[in-house]
Amino acid sequence: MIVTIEHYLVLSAILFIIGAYGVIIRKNLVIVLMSLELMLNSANLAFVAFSKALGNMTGQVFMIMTLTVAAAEVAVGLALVVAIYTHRGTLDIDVLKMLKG
Amino acid sequence: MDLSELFKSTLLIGPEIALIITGIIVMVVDPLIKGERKRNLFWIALVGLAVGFILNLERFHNGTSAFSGALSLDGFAAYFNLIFIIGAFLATILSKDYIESMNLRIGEYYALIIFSTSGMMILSSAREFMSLFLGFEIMSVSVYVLSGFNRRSVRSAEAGIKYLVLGGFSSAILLYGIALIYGASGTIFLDEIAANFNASNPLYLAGTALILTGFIFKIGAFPLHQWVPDIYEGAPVTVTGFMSVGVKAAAFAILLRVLFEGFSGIEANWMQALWIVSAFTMTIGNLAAIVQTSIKRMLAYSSIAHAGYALVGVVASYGGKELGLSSVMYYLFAYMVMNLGAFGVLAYLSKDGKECETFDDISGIWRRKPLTAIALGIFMFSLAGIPPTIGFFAKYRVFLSAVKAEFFWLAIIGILNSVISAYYYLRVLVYAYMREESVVFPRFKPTSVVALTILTIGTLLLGILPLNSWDLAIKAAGSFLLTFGAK
Amino acid sequence: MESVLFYIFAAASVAGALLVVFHKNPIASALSLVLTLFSTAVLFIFLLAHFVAAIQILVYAGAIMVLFMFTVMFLNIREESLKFDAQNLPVKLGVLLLILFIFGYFASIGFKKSFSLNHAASLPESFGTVEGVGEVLFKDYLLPFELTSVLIVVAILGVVAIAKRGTD
Repeated sequence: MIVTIEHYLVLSAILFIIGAYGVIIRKNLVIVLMSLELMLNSANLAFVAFSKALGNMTGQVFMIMTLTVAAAEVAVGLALVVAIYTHRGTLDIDVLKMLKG
Repeated sequence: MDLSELFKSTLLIGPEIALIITGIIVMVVDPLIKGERKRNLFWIALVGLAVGFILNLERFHNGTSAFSGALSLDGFAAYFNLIFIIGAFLATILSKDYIESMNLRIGEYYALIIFSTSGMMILSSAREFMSLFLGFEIMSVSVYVLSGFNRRSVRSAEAGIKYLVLGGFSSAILLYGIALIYGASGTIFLDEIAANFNASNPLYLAGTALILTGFIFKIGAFPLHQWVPDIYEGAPVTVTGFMSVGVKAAAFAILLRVLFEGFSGIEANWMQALWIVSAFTMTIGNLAAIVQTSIKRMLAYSSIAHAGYALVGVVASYGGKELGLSSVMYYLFAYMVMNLGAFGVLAYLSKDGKECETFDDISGIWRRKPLTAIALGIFMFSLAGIPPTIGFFAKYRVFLSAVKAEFFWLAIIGILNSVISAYYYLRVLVYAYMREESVVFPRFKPTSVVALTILTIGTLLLGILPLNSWDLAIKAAGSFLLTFGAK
Repeated sequence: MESVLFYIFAAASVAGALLVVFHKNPIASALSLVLTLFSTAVLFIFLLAHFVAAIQILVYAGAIMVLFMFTVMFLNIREESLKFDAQNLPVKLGVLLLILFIFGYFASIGFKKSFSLNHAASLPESFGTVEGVGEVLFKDYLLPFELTSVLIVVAILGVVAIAKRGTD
């Protein structure tokens, strides 16, 4: 069975859903941040796969940009996690359930 | 792109560069000076924003594009930049007393406000998804930090992390949408995407839906509005004021540009989606605002409702109508003035590490601080859309554009919602004017008063005489439609 | 040969992702994330994106994961994460697999229908190399590249503002 670009795209969609699911169900903030990384990583996979299919390298450049964004978000996120931990002594925050909306 | 073109493009983005340099100066000078003298950073920030403002005015006259079409420096972008810079300028003035009394870090605060503004400015002119995404993130990351800026308050830190997680979630969705659009069209430039658009290709539909989801989150519209109250409540009140006007306007700017320029091929589809989103956003925001016991939370729900009103204008610009577009832009400008004013009053009444949040905190200000009470009254009247304020005229134009574009039901829903909203805005005034005072109000703060005076006069004066703020919006909308040659 | 390797690394990345989300222990989650990122890097090589694959390992699986590991160790949050949010894991896993199954089915149909991928038969000589990516990055996308520096400044400033202690 020949591996086509569609295989990569379906894989990236699967990874994206797993990441999104992790953000929704996990309460531990560090793991939530890791799940966000999974989502960004899956978008990267889609970019690189499309880049190969289209034969232009914009997708690969976009992946480098996403990498920077991911690093910036993680750095700020972990700083906030440490700040919350010093206040509450726990990371047991359900981000979605705390919305009293 | 050769060197001379690069040089020319760099000169063209003067306003953005001015702000970024100001931010870096504030950041570098901050650790070099100590104690009381840090307060002078305020002036550096104001000068930088003023320079950005003046350089930006040039764009109203001759719109160009820079970086081989990555940025479109047209009147549309200039108008939104005006909203961001004036908003940041007034928010900075309002913040001065607040951050000093709350004992927050001065240098980083101003620098982040300025960086966030520069991100918004990139966003308003981006016509290419990579710059768009980075502008989006520059703006968002600064605002995440600002939301969690008060380290002594666990609520602030929680607001910061919540905003970061949910914002990161929405950026990831946006990014995946961009990936799909890139895969379908082979490019990330909006004009080329529009040229290659093929509505029968499912990748386009899915990509558009995901990108729209990302923007709707940032706007704070139904069904992704639940984050707004918590984060607006937890963040420092001046930051809430800044992000409720700046981030929202930036998200609208990019929503308009991407939808009209890039995805006009399936205009009917997203227009219907936005119709529903707009109707629900208005209604849910207003109904939830009625039952709130905290003013800050009430204003957060009211900002959801106002996003709904602005979306009415987006729907009414269906097919590239100038009136609808300019009404959205004018609405966001008006919302900037009045909402910043409302949050400014709350910041003004906060003292010594305690924020003014509940209705008790404003009870009876009429007896002690009549001028503040008058300002609060004008902002509430304006938010409720009662003449003769800027809020009334902005709302009138949005609904008029909806009627002219034959979206009668949406206009009716909007008008009914405005009537409902009057109840909770006027309730604030009942507390302010008719109740006994229950807390000691802070002393006179000269800097904040300057900003509040400007905002109050602006709310009233532009309500009576729109001057050329409305003409400017029409001109800007016209230049936007010209950029991509719509009808 | 390529297809066998693809399935091996695709399975590894999915397994890593599932472990990130479903493992109770944050350290194990962090290491599983490394597995996913590393497998993705291998897939990048199959996609002829050699430079990007190297970056993925250096920056993502290297630098960013060190940050994660450091925070996990620093806060020592191992025990309490065992207490909460570990309930009903099998049920949650089942729900996820169901979503994945339905979604994956539609995604594969959608991607097949969308357009005939693999259509760029002739890739440029420098495709995916440092030279090729660098040329695109510095010629066509110079502005975004410069903007990343602003983003990094913002992130540094933000981390300092949140984490710095002492007098203001």
